[in-house]
Amino acid sequence: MTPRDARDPDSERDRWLAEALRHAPDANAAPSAELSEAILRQARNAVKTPVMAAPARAHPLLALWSWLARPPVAAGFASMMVAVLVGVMWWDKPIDDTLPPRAGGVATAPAPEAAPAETAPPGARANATADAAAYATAAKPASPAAAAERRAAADRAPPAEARKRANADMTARSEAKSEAPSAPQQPPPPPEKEAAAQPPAPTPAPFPAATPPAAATAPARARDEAAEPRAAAGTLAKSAPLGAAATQRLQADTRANVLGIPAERWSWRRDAEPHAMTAALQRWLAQLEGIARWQPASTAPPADAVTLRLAQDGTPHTTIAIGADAVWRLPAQGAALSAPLNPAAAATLKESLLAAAP
Amino acid sequence: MRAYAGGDARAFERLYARHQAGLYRFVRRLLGTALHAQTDEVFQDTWLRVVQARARWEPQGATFRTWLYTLAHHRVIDMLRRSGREVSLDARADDGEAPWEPEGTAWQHWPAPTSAASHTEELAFWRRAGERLLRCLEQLPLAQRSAFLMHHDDGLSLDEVASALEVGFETAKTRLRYAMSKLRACMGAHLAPITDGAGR
Repeated sequence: MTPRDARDPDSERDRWLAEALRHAPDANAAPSAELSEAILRQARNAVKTPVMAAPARAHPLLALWSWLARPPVAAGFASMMVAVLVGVMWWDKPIDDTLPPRAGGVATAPAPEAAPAETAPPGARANATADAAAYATAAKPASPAAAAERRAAADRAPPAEARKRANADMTARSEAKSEAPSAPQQPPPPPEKEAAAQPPAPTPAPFPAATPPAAATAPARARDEAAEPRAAAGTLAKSAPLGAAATQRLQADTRANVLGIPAERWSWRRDAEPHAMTAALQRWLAQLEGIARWQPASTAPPADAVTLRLAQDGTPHTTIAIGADAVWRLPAQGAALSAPLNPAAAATLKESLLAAAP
Repeated sequence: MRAYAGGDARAFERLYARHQAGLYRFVRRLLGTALHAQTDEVFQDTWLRVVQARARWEPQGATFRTWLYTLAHHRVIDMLRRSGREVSLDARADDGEAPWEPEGTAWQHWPAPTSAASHTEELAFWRRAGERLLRCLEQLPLAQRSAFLMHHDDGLSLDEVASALEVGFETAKTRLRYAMSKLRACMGAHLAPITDGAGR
């Protein structure tokens, strides 16, 4: 008999090897009695445990806890908590002054009166918020997020104020519809520091357009714009010198007038002939507000300054003069303000003014 | 197993009594001499897995024994990896070579394996063969070793081996054939001089 012949019908089983295996020294190896007893004891205990554990498992809080303890769920929950924490930390935080100015329409959007926002009554804050929403609508076509924000702001305002803001809102919306197609699209502005370090770029418009460059960014931009006024107010309140409450009030008043009052009530002139307010000039004013850090003027504007005279209902309201290294705001009533500029920024500001108000 | 999952502790005792010896041997031989000391740990861990998984156990065509050996195989792989050994589950290293078939004279002079009343000389021969076989087993890759042990020592059919190793039938069959080929070569070469006086 050969090994091949002696195999099982199952051709893969070798009886010689099986026999050798059966006679191996460890053929009688078995677990020790202690080990067997330990295993059997654990098996018995495991069978008893569920009877006591059953009510606990049924408890919904424990079930929720065990569900939360699962790694994927716990990781997702932790991520959400971190996101909420970061969001809360950034909520209402003033914009860092070192950041470059945002889009023109955004940066100058209504600085709520009441520089110290903390002391202002709720109605005034709501008023300022409604202004911001109205300007956001006027500056660009309305987006769903901006509309929602505007509605929320109006809801927070007192009824009379809300009605007034609603009227302004509707007017601003109609203006936006008529002016949006003609609004030029410009790249975002370079930071002032960069402008100071580099020679002034002659061609590209240095200030951003009020209209967003792409429709896809509209919702996010609208949210930014709605939040910006609060941040801008905080920045102004912090950076204004002591005793400058009147200055801030004037700023707020001017911005509210320029941005909130229908454009047809405004006119401008650089020489003798008055002209109707245009969207381009409104954007320029907004850009000016974005880069100027106003303070009470200690000097008068030079004779060669480029000037822009604004009138409301035909009455002189404010004169803006741009010198070589500063810009002045000379209201018809009230104290004069000025803001220092570096020469490059002043030059580009002049150029953009000449483009907007030739 | 279903009875134990239902709370019958005696059912587990019956299962344990039926499978404990074979499983212990399987774990011990799979671990090899270098890791003999860990046999108890792996064996106990395997049974604890059975206890913990009692509620989830579903036959799904596989017998309890197949499932038990699958658990043990996984625990052995874990242990080998923890001990820093490279565990290759790909037993195709010998692809391209036909399995060796025993044709040598030494193999033909081995005593018949089925002799019920073995003589003392034959018993001594098989004991030496058993010792040698354990050494030969350690030279096999884990995948081939586990296939051979399940099939030859524990009596699992090829289908069950394939199921326990979680591979296809042909893969299990190939692993087994290569294992047997290597073991025959190893055993035949070693036992040839020994069997001169013991063979019939």
